[in-house]
Amino acid sequence: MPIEVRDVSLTYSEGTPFETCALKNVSFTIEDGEFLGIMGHTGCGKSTMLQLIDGLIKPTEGKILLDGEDINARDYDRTKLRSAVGYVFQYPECQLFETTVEKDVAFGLKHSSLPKDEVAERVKWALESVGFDYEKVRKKSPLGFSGGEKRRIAIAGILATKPRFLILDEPIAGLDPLGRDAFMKLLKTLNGQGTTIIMVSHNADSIGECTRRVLVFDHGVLVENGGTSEIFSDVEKMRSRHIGVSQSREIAHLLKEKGLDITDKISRYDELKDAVLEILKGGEQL
Amino acid sequence: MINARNIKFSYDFSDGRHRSLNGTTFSVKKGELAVILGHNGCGKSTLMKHLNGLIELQQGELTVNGIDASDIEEVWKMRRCAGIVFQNPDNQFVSSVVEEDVAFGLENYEVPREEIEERVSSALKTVGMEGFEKRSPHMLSGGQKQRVALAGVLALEPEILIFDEATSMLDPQGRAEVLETVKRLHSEGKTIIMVTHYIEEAVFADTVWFMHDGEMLAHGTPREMLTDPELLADTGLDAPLAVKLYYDLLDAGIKLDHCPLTNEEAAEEICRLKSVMSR
Repeated sequence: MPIEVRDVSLTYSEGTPFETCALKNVSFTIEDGEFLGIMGHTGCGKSTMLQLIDGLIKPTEGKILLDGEDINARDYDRTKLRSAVGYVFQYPECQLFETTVEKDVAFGLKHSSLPKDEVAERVKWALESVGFDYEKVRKKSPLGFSGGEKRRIAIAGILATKPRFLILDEPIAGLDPLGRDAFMKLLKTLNGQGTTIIMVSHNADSIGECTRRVLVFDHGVLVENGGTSEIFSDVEKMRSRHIGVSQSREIAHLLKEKGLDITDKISRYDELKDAVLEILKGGEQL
Repeated sequence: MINARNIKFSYDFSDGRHRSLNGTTFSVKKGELAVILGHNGCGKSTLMKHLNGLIELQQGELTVNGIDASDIEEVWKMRRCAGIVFQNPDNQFVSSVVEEDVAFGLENYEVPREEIEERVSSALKTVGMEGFEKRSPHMLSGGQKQRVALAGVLALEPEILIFDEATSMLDPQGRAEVLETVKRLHSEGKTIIMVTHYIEEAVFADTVWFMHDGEMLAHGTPREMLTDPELLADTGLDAPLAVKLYYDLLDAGIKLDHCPLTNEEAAEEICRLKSVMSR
């Protein structure tokens, strides 16, 4: 099992007045090549979960295994974990610091054993992947860009390390619609090339379009773990968890409420469009 | 209330060739709710920072509530007049106690102590955060943090409220909370400007502005602006899903009576057509 989370609990500030239980008894696995979505209201423990997988914090109870090895074991070689997992934080733009875009994106590769031209190649590839013209931006200061652009530069820095597992915490919040689309397309491409993607997002539309499996957290408890369209099929339940469903699912739900015969298994826009076409074309033949 | 004419601005002070604002003309009436949409880097935030004097006017004309932005002496008045809620509330907390954080601006303006207490509690009440006075802002949820940040701005009683992507980091619940507060303040007559990437949030605006490469491309009612696919594409925006569905159905030879703007309207239109067909 590539990543296995086994009976993990985490309590912050144990023994102080601020003691909060962030995660309770969470277990799940992640397969190679998956595109996994993680949803839940603010403060439900999503980001904590990601940080645990990346070994940034240790669970109070339970284990996290990467390729069968406990990443928090005393004798575990952490370089294995570090090279396998790339983590795009919330507000990655805050981590830009170098004098040029090129240097900033290359920073993660600085201590790798890659030859120089390979590094330059990777940096170029990473910047182009996030939609920049490499020659135009490479010598500019990363701090002189707009918020959304900075975000893409920071993400390029993670992509350049070509991680096996790419963890993203709210990567598209604050991006404009085209940037959002382009970015989701990039994730799909990376996923197609074999990168396992684990994405936390509040954006039910992006989750609905891209992921095949979703985990839903509620107050530190893993409450759902299943196929995206199955989980989206129960609109009322999703609303009660304060997360909502994709807009395509919502329109399908409204149509069903109005008495039309439409399946509950719609999470993506193309599925909705096809279903509506069938309803309306079907009417034509009558 | 706000009149901006032909504003030009460049962050590159050396030669000013690359402009963030390239002749922006923009206006907001008293009591209006204006929404500005545009891609990343189009100059939205730069324009907003002009409105309360965070950025000095380089070229063009700008008056905010009758205050001339080119008059450097008046900048403090201007700042009081327009309050901005930014994208990331964590960046603007100055205190580790909610009520002190909300009081911060008032203390700087030397408002008497009793009045501070009154205004802080009324601001927190407006945003639905009463009872959180003694909590630490950093330990709140995203939506709660953003509402505390808004309370800090409201306590100063500005004429104009500016939300610069204030909902983009929030979960749907937090977004709904902030949007409800925005709608209520609007109905109470506040002048509000919202910068957002969520096209659904533009639906309830009075006026929608499309911004592109430092210029305003067009403005109009949400229905005029959001159902025009060409205009949306020019601005680099995606149509609302309902509008997209309308045009995709049209391509497939099916015409709904009206182009819907919201999901509810889309569902209604589809049902109406279906019932006409089966008759």
